[in-house]
Amino acid sequence: MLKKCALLIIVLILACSTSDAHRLMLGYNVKEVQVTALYDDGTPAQDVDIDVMSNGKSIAKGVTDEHGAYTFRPESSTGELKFVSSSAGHRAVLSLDLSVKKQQDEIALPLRVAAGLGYLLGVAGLAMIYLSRKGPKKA
Amino acid sequence: MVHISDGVLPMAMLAAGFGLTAIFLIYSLRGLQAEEIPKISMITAALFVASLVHFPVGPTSVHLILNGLAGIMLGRRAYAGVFVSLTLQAIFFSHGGLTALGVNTFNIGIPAFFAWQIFEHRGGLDRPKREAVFGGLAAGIAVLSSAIFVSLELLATGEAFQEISILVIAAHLPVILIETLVTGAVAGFLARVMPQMLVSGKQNAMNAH
Repeated sequence: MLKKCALLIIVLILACSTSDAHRLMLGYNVKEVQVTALYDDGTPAQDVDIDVMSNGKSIAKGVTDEHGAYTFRPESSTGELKFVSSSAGHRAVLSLDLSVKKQQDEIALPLRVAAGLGYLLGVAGLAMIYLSRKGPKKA
Repeated sequence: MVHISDGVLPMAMLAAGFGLTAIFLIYSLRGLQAEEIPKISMITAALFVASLVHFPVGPTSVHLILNGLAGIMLGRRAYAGVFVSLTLQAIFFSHGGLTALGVNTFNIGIPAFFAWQIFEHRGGLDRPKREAVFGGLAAGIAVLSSAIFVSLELLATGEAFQEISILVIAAHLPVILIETLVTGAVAGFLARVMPQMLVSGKQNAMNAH
């Protein structure tokens, strides 16, 4: 009977559409990336060639301005971007992942549900041990 | 919406929430027997997962609370179940803040007591129908009370009245409706197959044998 009841509750919960947890999160979308080329003493590096790579292919090329800046507007569905700068033997690589659209969850939701239920089971077990130790005298 | 996050309420209110919750927890757990733990844990698990079931309502989004169900099944113990499930939700879902745990437990746990009292005083109809009607009524009032508690607390922090009353209370009308139906159905079902899962009403006890 207890099983039947537990089953009923589980079915009721599963019957409703579950999605992500009811938590307010912030999402973002990068429309423009400005990379800055500078030397290690902080001096902006002018006229540096910037090669924008995506999935190993070059998708854009440009040159930094007098502030060492180069602005790139990614297409809508850009994933990982790699900026490669080269100027007279200097080379630097910067990788950005733009496929991330919102605050990251450290752990997937089903795992968090399982972890929560696990803790609950643990708490219940400890409570039962505690109560059954002091229980017999009272009962 | 019924879960208030960290950093929303003033310090004094958070402290008062913890104080009240401590008192009600002691009341809720007094005389607890080991045999009651599995049932409490099962309902607590349902409460914990219930908040994942959510619906978009206008500009906001609301979710099941099931505090009425906890009230009619656990009675006095419901407050402890609410406390544990909210703690787990705060830790694992970032759902309501840990500093607001006392206030949130109050907001959801006290209406569970209301539901319990309503259900205890059930009467008038025949057995499964009576439990279904009073269970549904208890659940609806429990959700409404939670929404009102949250509204009052947010009002006290200086939010505009109209905005809050619309957002919180109006947005919870679908939840009230759904929980009334679900809890009513569960109560009717349990009354038929295993009435010992429900709190024993006074009428119920008299008619038992």
